[in-house]
Formats: sequence, C-alpha cells, structure tokens
Amino acid sequence: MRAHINTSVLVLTATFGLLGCQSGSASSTQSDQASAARQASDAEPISADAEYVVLHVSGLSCPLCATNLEKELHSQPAVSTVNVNLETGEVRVGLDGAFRPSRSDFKRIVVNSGFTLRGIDVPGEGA
Amino acid sequence: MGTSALQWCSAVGALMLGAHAMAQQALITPAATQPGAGRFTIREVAQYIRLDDDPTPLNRSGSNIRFTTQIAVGITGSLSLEGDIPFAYRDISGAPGQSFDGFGVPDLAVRAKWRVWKKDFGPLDTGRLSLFGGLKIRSGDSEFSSDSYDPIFGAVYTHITGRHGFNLAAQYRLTTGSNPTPLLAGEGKADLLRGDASYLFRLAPASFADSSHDAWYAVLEFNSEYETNGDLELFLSPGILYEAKTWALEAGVQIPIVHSLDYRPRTVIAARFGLRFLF
Repeated sequence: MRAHINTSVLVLTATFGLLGCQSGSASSTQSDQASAARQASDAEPISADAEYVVLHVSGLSCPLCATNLEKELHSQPAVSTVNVNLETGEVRVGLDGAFRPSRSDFKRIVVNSGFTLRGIDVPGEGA
Repeated sequence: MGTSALQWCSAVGALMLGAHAMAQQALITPAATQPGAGRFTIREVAQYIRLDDDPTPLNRSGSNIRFTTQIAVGITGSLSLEGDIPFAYRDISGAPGQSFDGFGVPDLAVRAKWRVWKKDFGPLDTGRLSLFGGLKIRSGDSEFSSDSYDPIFGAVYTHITGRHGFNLAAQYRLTTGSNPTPLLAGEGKADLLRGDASYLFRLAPASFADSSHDAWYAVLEFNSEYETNGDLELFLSPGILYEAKTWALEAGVQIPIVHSLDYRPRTVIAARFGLRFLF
C-alpha cells in the first residue's frame, strides 16, 4: 500500500513537473519570438518621413564626454544636426536625405561612445 | 642650430603637439573614462617640481620641469590604449659630481585601459570601474631613465552625480632595474605604489541649459607615492579645470603634507598646467 502511494505521488509529481516544463517552454518560446520581433523591428530604418529623432541617453557626465557621442553621430550619413542637452540626457538628431539609420544603429553608436541608450523617440512612431 | 636651441625647439614642439581629453579627469588622478571607439585624445602637461632637503650624502636640490604628451585611442566603447611621451629639463646642484643642468628624455609608458563595469543612472550620472595595465619603457637617457622595463597595473573608479565627481585610483609599478641616484619617486630600485583620490565640483553652470556646452570645475586631489624602500610623500593638490566641447584647460599645484624620505630629495612644491583635445 505504502509503495503504491509512493509511486502515485511520484507519478503525480512527475506529471506536474512535465506540465510546468511545457508551460515554461511555451512562455520561453513566446519570449524568444517577441525578442526576435523587436530585434527585427530595431534593425529596420527609421521612417523616411522623420526629420529628427530624440535619443534618451544616460551617463553623459560632462561636455567633453558628450562630444564623443556628438562626433560619432555627425559621422553617420543622413545626420545633419546634433543637439545634446546634458541636463536631461536628450539628444536631438536632425535627419536629412533619403537614407535613415535604424534604432539598432543608434544604439550601437551610443554604446560605442561609452553611454547607455534609454530610448528613442521618433515623431509619428511609437517609442 | 645649436644644441640648446634645438632642445628648446623640441620642448616647444612637444608642448604644441596638443592635449589629451579625458572628461571629469582630475589633473593627476586617473579616471575610468576614455575616448569612444575610433576617437583619440591628446593631452599635453607641463609639470614643475622644486626639490630640496636631500637626506642622502648627494645633497641635491633644484628643479625638474617635465613636458608629457599623452595620447589615448578608443578601440571599443570600453577599451582604450594610452601612451606617454615625456621630455624634461633639470637644473640640479649638489655634492661634487651630482650637479646637472640640461634636457633629456625620461622613460616612456604604454597602457591599456579596460572598463569592466559601468552603470549610468541618470543623464549625467554614472559609476565606472576600469582596470589598466602597461609598461614603463626605458628611454636610455642615463640622467632621466631608470634604465628598465617596469610593468604597471592598477584600477580606477569614477563616480559622477550631479555637480560632483569622484575618482579613486591605485596603481603599482614593479621596478626591474634602477637609477642608482633617484631624484623622483619611481626612479630608484624600489617598487612604487601610487594612491590617488580626487573630487571635482562643477562651479558653473549650476545646471546645464540646452545651450550649455562648457563647464568650470574646482578640483581637489589627495596623492600618495609610497616606495617599497620606505620612502613616502603625500600631497594635497588643489586645481581648476575648464572644459569645453572639444578641449579642456587644467592648472593646479601639489602641496606636500607628509615626507618620509631616505633615498631622494623631498618635493618643496609642484605645479601643473595642461591642455586636452578630443578628436
């Protein structure tokens, strides 16, 4: 009897465990899919209609530090103007011409300059 | 052109080469900041040191003026390479055979700086930790060189919040050779341990407006030089830093507050002036 109960408990535990794994797998798959979708979206160029974007940057520290980012942005095609507000961390990037960088491009530029990108505002698009 | 004129021209040339721009970096204490990937900075520093009270029988006193060109290149967002190219002038008097008056080339240095941790917690605010390692390279100049290749390694933490900036650094130089008559810390047989701390306060602007592109900082540093032969000097170093978008100007003095020296003359006073440029 005791052996039968123990076996039942074992089977029930294994069953719930497997169900949990399947649920975890399902949520993991959904998370992976969402992440992949975001990455694909970030890799797409910013809308050609956008005349500027606003980058929200952290860690700018000082005028000389911010110049690292400013110079790197200016070296990108389509960037016409860069205005850094050190107090708010907002970097307004004016865009010109047919080419448009992607959100991933902006993130790469900010990271390579030594800072953290908190977000990008593109007029007419969701953040 | 005579030798003296040529040496002066070289000194001026070294001074004009430019400046090395490291933001929120004090005059002496390193910072855990570096140029961005593909960027480079040049910093030119002129340092004057007055020496006296030599505890050795050499009885030396005088002055040492050093011009250093520091170049830093950003490899990635967290890795940079740095090099120091010095040029110096000494006017030393002492016991017979110890006097010297002339120019020379002190030992060079190369370093890699790797930022291993970063947390940006505000538009301006950040905490960063960097490790650095390198080599002091003998110049071969008998008067100015320790005639050795000495490994250097250290770490520096930088914390910036609002108008306040802090840097804390430690570095160790393993001495593999020696100048038999050291004049400055690190020139003798002993290893050198440096401990530096700096506080920068942004005097102006109180807060950055949309059009703000420069800043003034008051700087206060605590610098220590300890050698494994027991020699020790501690300094309090006030200074000022003006930082624009692509260049910065620095000036300050080093005031010795503790001396415990058996192998070289003590520092009476030291002064520094520097220019930094970001490209």
